[in-house]
Order: sequence, then C-alpha cells, then structure tokens
Amino acid sequence: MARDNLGGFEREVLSVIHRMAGSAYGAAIAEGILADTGREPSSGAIYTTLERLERKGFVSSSWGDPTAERGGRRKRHYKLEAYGAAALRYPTTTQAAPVKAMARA
Amino acid sequence: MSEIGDQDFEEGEGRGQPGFLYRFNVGGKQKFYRSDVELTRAMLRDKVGLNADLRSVTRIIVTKTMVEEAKFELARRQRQAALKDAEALVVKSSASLAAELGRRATRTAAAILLPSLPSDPLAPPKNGQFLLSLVASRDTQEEVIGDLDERYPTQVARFGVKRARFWYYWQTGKIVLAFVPSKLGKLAGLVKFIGALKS
Repeated sequence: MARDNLGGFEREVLSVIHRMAGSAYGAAIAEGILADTGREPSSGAIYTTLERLERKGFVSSSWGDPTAERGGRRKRHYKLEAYGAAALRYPTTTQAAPVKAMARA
Repeated sequence: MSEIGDQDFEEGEGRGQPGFLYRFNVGGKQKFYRSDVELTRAMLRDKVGLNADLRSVTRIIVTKTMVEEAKFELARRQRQAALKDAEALVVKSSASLAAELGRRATRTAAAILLPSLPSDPLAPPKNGQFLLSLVASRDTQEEVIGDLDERYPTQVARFGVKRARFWYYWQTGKIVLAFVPSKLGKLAGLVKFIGALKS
C-alpha cells in the first residue's frame, strides 16, 4: 500500500519531528536536518514532504501564534501521529532489501 | 416732554453706601438725591411729569435693576462664548500648525537622514512572497515565508548579507519549483475534465 511507503528523506523529517515532540515546524525541521546530516536541506523538499506525510496520516499539523521574528506570521506545528511513530520503528524498503537478501543467501 | 435716559443721571462708586448722593441733570442744572427712590421719583416728575407713589417707584427700580442685571449677564455670557470660541480657534490653529510643522520636520529629517542610513541588513527580501503567491495557497505562503524570514538572520550571521540574500532567493525558487508540479497536475486534471465533458 502506498500509504505504508516511507522514503529516506521522509524518515529523516519524521525522526526530527519525533525528537522535537510537538514543537516542530518548517524552520526548526530544516535546522534539525542540517544539524543531523551537516547539509542544508532544500526548503521545497521539506514542505512537499511535510504535505505528503500529513496526507498519508503520519503527522498532523496545527497553527501556532504569530511572532514578531516571523513578521507577524504564524508557525505551523507538526506532531507525529501513532501511525507515523509505527512507520518510524520499521526499516524502509530500501533498508530492508539487503537484510532480506542476506537472509535468503 | 422728554424721556428719561441713562445720560441724564450719573452714578458713581459707593452707591447704596451711607452719604452717597445720586446726581441728576435737569435742564443743565445738577440736582442731588439721597436714595434711588428719591432720584427715580424726581426723574419721573421732572422728565415725564408723573407723580408716582412709593410702590410704583419701587417697582420701577426693581424692574430697572433686573434689566440691568440681565444685560450684565447677557454681556458676561457673550464675553464667555466669544472667549471660548477664541480659545477653540487658538487650539485648532495650534494643532494644525503643530501637525504641519511636524510633517515638515519629518520630511526634512527624512531627507537629511535617509540617504545616509544603510538598509536593515537583517530585513529579508520582500520579493519572495510574490513568487510564492503564484503557486502556493495563502496558508502555505504564511508558513513558508515565516520560516524563511525566521531563518534569514541566522544565514546573515553565518555567511553575510549577500550570500544570505542569495540563499533566500534560492530557497524560494526551490519551493516554487516544488509546488509547480502539483499546480500543473491540478491544471492538467481540470483540462482533462473539461475535455471529458465536451466529448
């Protein structure tokens, strides 16, 4: 089922959201990925991934209060859902493939 | 027979005090009276030819006093109203003058100061929102622009203004490109739907 698929970048984003426990939002997620991997993630990739994860039901979002440092704009907070937490516990298809191949050998 | 006029008698200070005399001009001659009643009675007799009794004279004096007081009160109110109007005019003129002076001072200060002041290096570029408005919803724009604006000062601190501005536009461009396929997909779906309706 397409709903179960979790790509590498999606997993990275999910793990950052999991670590931030409800206080994750776009800028914080980007900084988190930068801290984890040492490379600047593409903002476009982050927002499309977040949109996809929300559509799949892995995360849910809610609007925060506007802040001055954001020019009076609101933050969109992302929260890991139970389904997303479960998906995070299992390896991705690409990670699982070598393990399965080794088991077959 | 002549009428009684204010110019016919004179009243000085000390009216009503013991020993005060009222002066009355009759035919160029001056006559003096001890009281208001005597004066009024003499005026009525000499000017109008009327011998009035004490009650009538008292009534005339009371009426005259009331009229004088009313005139005085009217004048006082007119003076107060005029004063109030003048004050209001002064306040209004001062306010408009102050506002005009303030505007001139601001314009002058801006003309002197602004060219020499550098633009705020921590202020993010403003063009990003326009680009995003072409492809993203209002909520997405708020989220994305807010995140970029929040991260911009950090980028300035890390890499300087020039590179931070490049980073800002680069990220905006990437976000726009990321949202374009979904927009095109929706457009393609709409075209397909219209085509299906036509056939």
